[in-house]
Amino acid sequence: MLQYILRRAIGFLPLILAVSIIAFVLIELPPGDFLTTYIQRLEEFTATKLSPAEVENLTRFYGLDRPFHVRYAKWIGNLVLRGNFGWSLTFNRPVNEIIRDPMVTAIVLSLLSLVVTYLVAVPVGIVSAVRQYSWFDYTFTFLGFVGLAVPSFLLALVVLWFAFRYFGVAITGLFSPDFIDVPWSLARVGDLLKRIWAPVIIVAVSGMAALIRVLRGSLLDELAKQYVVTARAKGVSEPRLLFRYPVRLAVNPIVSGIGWVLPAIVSGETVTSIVLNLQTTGPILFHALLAQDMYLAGSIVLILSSLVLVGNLVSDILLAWIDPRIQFGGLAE
Amino acid sequence: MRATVTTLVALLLALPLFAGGGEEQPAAAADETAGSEPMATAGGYLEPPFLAQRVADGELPPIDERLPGNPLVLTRQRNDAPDGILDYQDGNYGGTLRMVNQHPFNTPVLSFMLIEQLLSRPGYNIGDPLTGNVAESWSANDDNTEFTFTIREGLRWSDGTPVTTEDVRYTFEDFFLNDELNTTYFIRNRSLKAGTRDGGNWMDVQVVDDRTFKVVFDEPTPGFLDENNKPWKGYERFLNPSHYLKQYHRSYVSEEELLKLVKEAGLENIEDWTKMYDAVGTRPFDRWVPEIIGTPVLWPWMVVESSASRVVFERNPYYYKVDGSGKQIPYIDRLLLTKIEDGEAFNLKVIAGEVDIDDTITQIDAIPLYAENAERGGYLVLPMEQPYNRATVFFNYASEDPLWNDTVKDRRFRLALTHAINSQEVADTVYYGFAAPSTWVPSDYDPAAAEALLDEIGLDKRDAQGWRLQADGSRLEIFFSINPRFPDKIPTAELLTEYFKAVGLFATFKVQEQAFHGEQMRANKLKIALESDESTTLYGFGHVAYFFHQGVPRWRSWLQTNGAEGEEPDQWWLDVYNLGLAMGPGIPWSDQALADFKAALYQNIPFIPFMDVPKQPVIVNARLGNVFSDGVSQWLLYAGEQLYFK
Repeated sequence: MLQYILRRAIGFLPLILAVSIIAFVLIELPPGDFLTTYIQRLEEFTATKLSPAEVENLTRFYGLDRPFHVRYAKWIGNLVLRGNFGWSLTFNRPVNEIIRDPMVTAIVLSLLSLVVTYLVAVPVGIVSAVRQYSWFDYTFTFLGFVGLAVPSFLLALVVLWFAFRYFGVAITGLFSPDFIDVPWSLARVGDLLKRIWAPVIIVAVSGMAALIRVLRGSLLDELAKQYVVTARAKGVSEPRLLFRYPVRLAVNPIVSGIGWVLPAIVSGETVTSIVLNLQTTGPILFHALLAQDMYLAGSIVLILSSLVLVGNLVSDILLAWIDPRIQFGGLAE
Repeated sequence: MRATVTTLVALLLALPLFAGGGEEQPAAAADETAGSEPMATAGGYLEPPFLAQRVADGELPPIDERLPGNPLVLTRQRNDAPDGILDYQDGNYGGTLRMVNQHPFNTPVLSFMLIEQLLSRPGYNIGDPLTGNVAESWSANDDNTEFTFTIREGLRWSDGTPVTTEDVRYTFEDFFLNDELNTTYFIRNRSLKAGTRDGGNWMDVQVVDDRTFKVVFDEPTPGFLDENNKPWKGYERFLNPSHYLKQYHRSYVSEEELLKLVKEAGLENIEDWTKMYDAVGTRPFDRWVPEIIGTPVLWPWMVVESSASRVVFERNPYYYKVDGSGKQIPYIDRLLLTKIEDGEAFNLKVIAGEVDIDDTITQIDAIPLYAENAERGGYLVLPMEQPYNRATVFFNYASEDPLWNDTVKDRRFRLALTHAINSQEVADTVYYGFAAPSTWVPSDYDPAAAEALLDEIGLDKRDAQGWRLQADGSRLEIFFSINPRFPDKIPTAELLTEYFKAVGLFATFKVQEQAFHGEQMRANKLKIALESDESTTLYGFGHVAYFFHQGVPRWRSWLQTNGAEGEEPDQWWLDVYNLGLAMGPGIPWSDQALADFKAALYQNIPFIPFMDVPKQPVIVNARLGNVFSDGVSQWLLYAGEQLYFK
């Protein structure tokens, strides 16, 4: 097994390298570059049109005069040798510093949502399958489809309005203005609690709906299988029967999905974050892409893609652990 | 329901995780000392309660020692505004002004509040004479080639260091003339060139004594004082805290020392020192990156805390202005700038009463929402004039399409377009009545006259769909690329294209990504443009040189390079342009010059500013004093230091 993990890890390297090149190229593809936007803002601000010489100076200042491969090599070199993600053009400061705090926020927020999602979706999915076509099943099927169909940003807007209308709180951001960036205290946690439920629920609901449906479907499949009937005939108690085999197999699709969960945790639901004004990585990536700040955007894309790879590995290992029929490294052993 | 309960449980479980982060501290708001009324000092000044403790602890000298010998005194007479739109009063100390911004380190709202010019116009009345500000006195020689300034005596940077002409020399020689550094653009702009024109030579700066310096040009530059002391142009182009900045400047520290600093800043090569310097020095956009904490300033407030989610400013203890009752300006102790991502979230904050002042992110179409919640949120909604006019159609007379150029150079074509536009309808629907049809160009809506004119200039043939054809039989197409940065342009563009279609012109528009839009504009790909214009608004008259040639990149570069590049503009166009230049950049311009420019614009229609004074809703906390009730929205911000909480 260790050998298997090692082999997979080595396989990551060329993949990540390829992803980083693609990320860099994609950001360069649209016409114009970071400076086009920057110069426009500059001219609006100073009410002075820049001369070609000044534009050239700026290009040199931001290192955009160097060819693409030189910029890429420098960036990736620094990353590998020093763990330095480079210098963000829009923020005019190191990328490492820019993404550190938002990433923590994104992780806390997403982990909470994830816990909520699993805590609700797994039991509800199981009950829905076991009590198929009961009022419980119908209710959650209905809610589940609503959750699937309503985009999370719309849900966010609705929640914002209700919170304001009935509680008088403008839940924009995770903290009220007085509590941003102050050391942790009870008052601050209280402030956080007043606000964090909204994004957690909103992010959780969309994921929850899909999970409930998947779990219900696969569990129903399992429950109809012969081994369940046999076990029941032999007098195995219902709960034991249910959790010992069918549920274990039914969570399989959820576990395979973990590969996608990791990057989602770090990216923090871009659109929801923008609507709810949360300082997560999502809005930063969004702005970096708009401004064609390739070092910042490239770094975030690279982190996210690496997490997809790691997540896939983790889910493979978990799957094997849950379902012993899955073997590592093919049939060789 | 179930989800909520589960969430709460999860949160309670997670509580210890959060609480473990740091030591307990009282809420941040505790420092807003109300306290008893301070006692006047020997000098007759009142120590701000906010600083009293630091003075008592010996961290700061008392107010008498911090203020210059002759501080600038704000009075009702001096700071009055025209037409009774400001009820100026001496204010009270204290409070936090809450603002929002959409970019972590850049906001026009706050930029304007932090600007200190060498000389200022206290009443914000554009025609008022200049008075001393950072410089206490100044003079110009007869032919306007030499300008002498005297720095206010006893003026200090926010760290207490006196301001001297060494700061001027440093700024000129080590910044302005330093080819590595002066790429940080803002210091090198047209207003520092002889004749304040793009083709002029750069200024020369000479130090006379400790407090006096001269700015010298090789040709008369009558617009120099006005151009450099507009409310949005600060002292930074002439003065910078040399004692502080030298420690980051390549000419003043050893290479090893510099390399160490560069590495600390997260950069690698010695060549990157300019980036590091850029962050430490004061620039117009990102004035509040964390690196700027500690950089001495002359602003009313200085940055004390900065992150991507919020920025905190505190009063500058050495600020050089006082009011009639002996209180040091600013009245308000702290500014709190919170980052906001989205327009809807902003609107929500406004109606919840969490925004004390804003004139930028507010949306004209949200006026009913703002007004409905104003009382409950404790704020005022003031529709005020915008200093720019976003509804202006510019033509590209030198595009790559000769047929188009011929058509658009025909005055009758442009006149026809003015007749086709129903500007009253735009005013009513896009601006909710807070704008009027233009008086700068003909604005009588008369589609029949428009059709007649178009027929007359040979656009009378039509294709099967009824669209007008050009001389070569191809369809005349009008395409607007809309910059998404200004969403209010979209409804305007929708109406415009409908008006043009109604007279048989095939018109479309598309919202294009900002960088792409800019690139197309530069590359001369756009034949017509809907851009912002300031040359027909009160504040912009002096801006003709910047706004007039929007939409014609080839003519613009001809003007900018003294004819070396681009294409020579047509004489009729140049004539109007020159009339505009003759009016500015000097303020006050003569009424005659303004009338001449206006008449020429009306006659020739080089571009179509089809709205007059469109307004922008300004949100102001109802408890704020010294607030303009009308006028140009930005006046409020220019006079930010005089705001106080009643």
